[in-house]
Amino acid sequence: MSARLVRLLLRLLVRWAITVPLVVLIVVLAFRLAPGDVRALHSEGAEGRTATESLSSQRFAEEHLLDASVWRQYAHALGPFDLSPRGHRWFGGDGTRPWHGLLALEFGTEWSRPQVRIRDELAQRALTTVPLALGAFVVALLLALPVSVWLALLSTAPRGRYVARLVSTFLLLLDALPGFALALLLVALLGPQGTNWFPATGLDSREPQLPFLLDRAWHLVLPVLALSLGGIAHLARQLSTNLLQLEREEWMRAARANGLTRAQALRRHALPHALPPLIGLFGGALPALVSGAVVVETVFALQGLGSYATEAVLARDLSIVLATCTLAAVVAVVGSVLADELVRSLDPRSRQGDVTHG
Amino acid sequence: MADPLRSLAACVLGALLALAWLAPLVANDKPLWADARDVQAAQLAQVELGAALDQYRTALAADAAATQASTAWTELERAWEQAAARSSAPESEVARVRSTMTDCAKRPERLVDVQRLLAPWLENLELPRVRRMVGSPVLASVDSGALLRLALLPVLACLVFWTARGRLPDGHRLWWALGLAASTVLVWVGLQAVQQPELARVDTYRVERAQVHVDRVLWPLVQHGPAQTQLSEAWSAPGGYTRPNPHWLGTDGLGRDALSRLLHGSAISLEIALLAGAVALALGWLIGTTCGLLGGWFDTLCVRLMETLASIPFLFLAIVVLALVRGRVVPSVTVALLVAAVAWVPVARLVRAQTLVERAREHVQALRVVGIPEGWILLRHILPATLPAAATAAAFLAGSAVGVEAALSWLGLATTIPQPTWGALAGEAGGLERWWLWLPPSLLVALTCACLLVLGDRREEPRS
Repeated sequence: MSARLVRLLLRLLVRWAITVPLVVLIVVLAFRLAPGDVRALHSEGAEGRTATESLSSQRFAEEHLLDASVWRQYAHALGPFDLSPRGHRWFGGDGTRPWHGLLALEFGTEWSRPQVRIRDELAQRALTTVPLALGAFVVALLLALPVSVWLALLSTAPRGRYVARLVSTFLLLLDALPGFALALLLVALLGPQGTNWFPATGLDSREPQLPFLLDRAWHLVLPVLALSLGGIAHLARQLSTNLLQLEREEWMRAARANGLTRAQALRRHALPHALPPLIGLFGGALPALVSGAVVVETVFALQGLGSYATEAVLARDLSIVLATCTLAAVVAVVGSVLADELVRSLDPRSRQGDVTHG
Repeated sequence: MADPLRSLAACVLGALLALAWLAPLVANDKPLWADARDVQAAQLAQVELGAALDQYRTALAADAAATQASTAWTELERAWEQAAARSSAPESEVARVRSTMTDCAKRPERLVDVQRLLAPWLENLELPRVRRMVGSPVLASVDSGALLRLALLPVLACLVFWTARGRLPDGHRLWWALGLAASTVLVWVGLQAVQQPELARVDTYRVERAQVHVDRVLWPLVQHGPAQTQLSEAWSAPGGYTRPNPHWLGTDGLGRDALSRLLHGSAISLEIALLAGAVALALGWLIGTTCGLLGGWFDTLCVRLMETLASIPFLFLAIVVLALVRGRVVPSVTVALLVAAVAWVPVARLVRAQTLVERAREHVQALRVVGIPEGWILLRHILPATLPAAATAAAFLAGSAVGVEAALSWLGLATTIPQPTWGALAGEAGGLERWWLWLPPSLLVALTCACLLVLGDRREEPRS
C-alpha cells in the first residue's frame, strides 16, 4: 500500500515538474509580449497612487525584474531564490528577502496594492472558490449517475422512447449552453427577478435570517447549479450511451436471466462497468471547474480565485496572474493524476495492461 | 443518411453558416437593389451650361472676332457634352443637338439659334433629363472577405454534408465542390463588371437623399445595418411590429439593431469554430498517425506531451494570453489557434489508437506481404481509414471552441472589431433585464454547439 502511495506521489511530482514550469513560462512570455508599459500602471504617479505606498518607476522595474532577461524573470517567478536587488546574496542581492517564487510558495505582494500579500489574499479567496467547486463536483457526481440510469431505462422502455428522446435533446442543449448563459438563465428564473427563491449576488445576507452556514449554503445554490449543470448533462449523456451499449453484452442478459430487474442489472452490473472511462472525464472536470469558476464568479459577483485572476490580467499584475495560474495548474494535475490512479484501482483490465507491457 | 438527428444537425449548421455569410444581404441599411436618378449631378451640369452660354454671349457682345469668343465657345461645347453625358435624353435627340452645334460653331450670327437649341436643356429641371442608376448598393459595398466566404460556402456545405454521412467524398464530388466555388467567384466578378461607377453614390444615398431621387428600391429583410446607430431608440425592447421598420430583437445601448448585429456577428463565431476544428484536425491527424506508425521514443514523448496539455487549466491560460497579446494578431484567429493548440490532443489520441488497429489488420499485412511499398499503404489504406474518426472528433472540438470563444468574449477578453461575436454581444447586454440582448446570442451558441456535438458524437469506438 505504501509503495503504491509513493508511486502515486512520484507520478504527481513528475507531472508537476513538467506542467507547472510550462505554465509559468507561457505566462511570463505572454507578459513580455504584451503591448503597453506596465510600470506606468503600477508605480508612483499612476492614477490613485501616493508616493508613500508606491515605488518609483525605476525601483518598481528593478524590484520585479522588468528590464532583466526573460530567463532571469522566469527563474525569479519559479523560485526559490529572489533575484531582485533585495534578493538572495548568491544572485547579487542584499539578502533582505532571499526567497521568492513558486518553489518557495512566496508570491510577494500585489503590484497594484503593495500592502496586500498575495498568499493571504489567495487563502481568503479560496474560501469562496473551494466550496463552490467542491459543491459543484459533488452535485455533478450525485446527479449524473441516477439521471443516466433513468435515461437508459427510459430509452428502451416501450412507452418511454419519446420521453427519453426529449430528455436527451434537453440534456444536449444544456451541455451545449455556454456557462455564462446558463448562469444568467438560472438567475433570471430562480433569482430575485424571477421566482425569488435564491439570492443572486454575494455570499452572505446583510441581515441574515438563517444561521451562518445555512445562509452561506443558500447563497451558494445558484452558483453551484450554474457550475455543475453543464457537467451533469455531459456526464449523463455519455454515461447513458455507454450503459445502452453495455446492455447488449451477454453477461447483462445472464444477469437478467438470473432474475434481476432491468434497473437492478443496470445499477449493479452495468454502472460499475461504465464508470472507469468516465473517471477520466471527472479528472478533466477539475480544470473545467477551475475555468468555469471564472465565469460563474463574474456572474454572481463572488470574490473568488477565478475573478481574482481575471481582474489581475486586466490590471496587468504579473505576480497575481502567476500565482493563480500555477495554483490552477497544480490543482488540474492533481485531478488528472488522481483520476488515472482511480481508474487503475477500479478497473482490473488497466492493471493487467501494466503487467504485460512491462 | 442513417441518423435523422445527424442530418438535422448538419442542415441546421449549414443554414446558420449560410445565414451568417449572407448576412449583408439579409440585414443592411443599404438597399439590395435600387433604381435611382442622380439629380445633383444633372443640376450641376445645367448650371455650368448656363454659365458657359452667358460667357459666350458676353464675349460676343464685347468683341465678335476676338479669340475670347472662340475659347468661350469651346467652353460651351465642353459644358454641353457634360450635360449630355448626365442626361437620359434619347440618343437621337443628343445627336440632333450635337450636329446643330457643329453647324453653329464660330458663327456669331447664329447665337439666337444656339440659345433656342439649348433652352430646353437649361429650363428643363424635370427628372427625365437626369441619369438613371440601377444596381445593388449592398453588393457594391461588400469586401473581399465576403467574396472568400461566398466562395467557401458551397465547399463547406458539401463538407458538412459528408461529415454528417460519416464518409469521405469521392474524387468527382470534390471536383463538384471546387466547380461550385469557382462559379460563385465568376458570378461575383460578373456582377462587379456590370455595376456602374455612379453606384457608389447610391451607397450613401441615405445621407444624400436630397440629391438622389429613388424610384424603386428593394430592401433587405432587415433594414438596419449592424453599425447604424439611433440614439433615440437605445435599449428598446423587441416590439412595435406594426411600425414600418421594426427592431425585431430590440436595440442595444447605442440604438443599434440587435438582430442585424447578431446576424453579422455570427460569421466570426462560426469561422472561429471552423478554423479551430480544421487546425485541430490537421495537427491531431498528423501527430496521431506519426505516433502510431513510428512508435518508440517519439510516441512516448508525444503521449507525455498530450498528458501535460490535457492538465493545463485552459481557460486560465487563454485569458492570460488573449488579454496580454491583444491587438497583435486578429483576435478571432488567436482564439481559434489557442483552442486548437489544446484541442488537437483528443484527435491525436483517437487517430493514434486507430492507426495501431489499422496497421495490424489483415488486409494491410496482406498488402505488405505482396510487396506494396510502405508509403503507399500509409497513404492509400491507413490514412483514409483514420480520417472519419478524426473528423468527427474535430467536429466535437469545434463545438467546444464555440463555447470557449463565447465565454472569452463574454468576459470581454477577446474583442473583435467592428463586428462582435455572439459572446461579446451577450456581454454587451449589461443587465439581466435586457434579455433580448443576451438570450438570443446565447441560444445561437448553444444551437451551434449542440449541432457540432451531434455531428461529433462518436458511435463506434476504434476496434481493438
